[in-house]
Amino acid sequence: MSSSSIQNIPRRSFLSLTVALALNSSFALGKDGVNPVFLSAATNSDNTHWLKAFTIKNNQLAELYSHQLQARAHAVALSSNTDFFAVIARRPGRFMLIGDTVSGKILQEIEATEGRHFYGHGVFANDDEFFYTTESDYEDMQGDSGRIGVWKIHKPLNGIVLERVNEFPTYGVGPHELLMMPDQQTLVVANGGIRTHPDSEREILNVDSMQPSLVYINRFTGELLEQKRLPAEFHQASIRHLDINVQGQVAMSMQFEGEPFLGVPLLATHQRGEAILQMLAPEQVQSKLAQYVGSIRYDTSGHFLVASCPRANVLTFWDAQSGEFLNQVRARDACGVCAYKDGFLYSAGTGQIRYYDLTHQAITNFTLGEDFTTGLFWDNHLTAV
Amino acid sequence: MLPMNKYILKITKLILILIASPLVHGQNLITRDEDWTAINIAVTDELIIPAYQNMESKSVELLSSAERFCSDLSDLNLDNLKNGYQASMLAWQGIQHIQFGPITYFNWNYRMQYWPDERGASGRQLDALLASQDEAILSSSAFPRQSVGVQGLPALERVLYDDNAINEFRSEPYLCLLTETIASNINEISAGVTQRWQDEFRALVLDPVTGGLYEDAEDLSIDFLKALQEGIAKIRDLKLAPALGESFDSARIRSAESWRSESSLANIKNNLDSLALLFSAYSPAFHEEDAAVINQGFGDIMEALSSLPASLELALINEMQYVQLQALHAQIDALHESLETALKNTDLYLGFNSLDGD
Repeated sequence: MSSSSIQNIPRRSFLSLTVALALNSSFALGKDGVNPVFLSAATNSDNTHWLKAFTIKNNQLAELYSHQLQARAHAVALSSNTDFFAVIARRPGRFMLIGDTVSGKILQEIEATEGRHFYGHGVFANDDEFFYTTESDYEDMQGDSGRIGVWKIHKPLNGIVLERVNEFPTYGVGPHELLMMPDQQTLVVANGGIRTHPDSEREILNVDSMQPSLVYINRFTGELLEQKRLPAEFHQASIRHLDINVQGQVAMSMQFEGEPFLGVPLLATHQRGEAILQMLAPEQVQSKLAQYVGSIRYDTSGHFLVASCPRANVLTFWDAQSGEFLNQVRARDACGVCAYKDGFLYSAGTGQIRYYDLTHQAITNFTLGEDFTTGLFWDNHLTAV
Repeated sequence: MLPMNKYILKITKLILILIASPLVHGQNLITRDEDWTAINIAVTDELIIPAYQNMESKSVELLSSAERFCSDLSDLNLDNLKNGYQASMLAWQGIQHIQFGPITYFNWNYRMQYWPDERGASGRQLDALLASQDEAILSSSAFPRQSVGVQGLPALERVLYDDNAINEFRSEPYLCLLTETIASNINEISAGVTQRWQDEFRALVLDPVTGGLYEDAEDLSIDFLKALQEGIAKIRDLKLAPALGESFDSARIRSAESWRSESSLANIKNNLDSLALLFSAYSPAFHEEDAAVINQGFGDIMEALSSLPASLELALINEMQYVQLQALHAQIDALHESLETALKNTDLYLGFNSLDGD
């Protein structure tokens, strides 16, 4: 174990952090109730792409299963009872695999509907009747081309099969992460605002006119319930990733496509019906973040946030209630984060998987099991079962 | 010229130690923190700090030549000031690739050089500032907070290399106040970065983990190696490709860096000089055959550059030299690829999520 020193943690925040964690002892335990299971996309040094599942046993990482993918995937979504996973292609990819979380068996290989591509994110409804994906109607080069793909879940014996049954507009362009609100009726979607077309790969076609937004959509009717934007001066701050705590507070992270030297909020929180609350780190930290946050996740208490900043090679920690910056930890190329025990597990493009304990402000390096694949670049997101 | 003897000695000693151990491809050749730190501190002491000191001393000369010109607006003094600008720009080109550490504090990097300026913000903002005649903005406390477009070397170049500069200066006293302010600001930034490297960052290079700024010494070395790789990519993608365009007829000199002062290729030469030295310092981290390919690549590029004029503008209007420039671009691309291959043959990865996130 190695520890990393943290600068200038406000005392009030640190005390509330300890209390919040003491009240909350639940964390990812995995299906057997003992060993957690983690899922992530990864790329190998030979440029092959994978879905990987691993666990932590006696402070050692052990691989559970892996599947080679046709191209780079992005995030993994879990069904509400965590029996099933969906691994979704990175934009502008068009594949999605559905599998059994415990055995790793692939149950279905899905190709996006014609004229649509995925953005790497999806979410299961709590009743496991429906699954939703963010997509692009990419031939619509003028209008709000963001789409939510609606997938009906059929449940044959020992498995699930998804059927595409509908789609809704996202009321914006370039939707990215979407999540289900605690009411289980409402989808919250990050419209990144960035227009791309598969013919020009990932090139941004509308950097001057992008209008990102956070939208709440009725998942049964597709009705727009609420749409929020950042102030106009931050219209190039693409809202990309989201998390929700039990109180229904939505945390969002941004990637700013404008000038690199401007002081722009990269994180914010939102509560339905209220204004967006921007979060800024002290200037000397904020200016180092390279205008880019990779992933954002609440801790198990829902009180604290981690935001990974792979271009700055740091993880930043925040008090989600006050919006206060707490600290930062050096983590080269780290992007995937998920709540784990009294802090967060994080994965990096260097192949590292580490644990950061919020209360003790300590980093744990795990030893590698004999058959644990090395030489992996862990991709953007990490999911805990 | 940088003092290289001591530096070469240190690195050679390290190479000898490393050659003694048997190694295979796909593994890091340097595994001990102290070996990385030996290179990192040699680079800091022999390359980085001297380059920033050079920038600082050139900026002192720049400031005095600006003051001299403003006290006597003669053609000769303008030429001297232009020479002072050129020397400062070339000094900056020798350390431009370092985009971590103190240069990132207070937006110093963008305030030293805001480029490329694809939307012409600098010109618009300078015009607005000149129209305002606002002297309060030029105070040493207010100016650093102004837009980066009116600060630094490109703003100074724009003011000095106007075709009618001498008459503009004679008829517009505010131009001189602005010129002295920009020069003084360049001097403050240069001195600030140098001091922070000497007083703070050097200690961090020796002990990168305490304080939590780096995971280990290798983590810091990767910042240097990334500076090397990104420096080469910048020459290829920003300094040459946009100016070359698709063909001889579509070449666009105004897309080049420092086109007004006609020193685009001189800049590139200085970049490559520094990048070659940086690579040489880290060559113990690479397999010998890979290092040889990269050294050869640097040598070939330098030779190609020596047969071209300092002015990219002149080369772009000569069809034969345009072909030479295309070849130079291809050589730099090949150098970048050789470095990538060399990195892959070790276990050093400069980034995955940080290079291509979503």
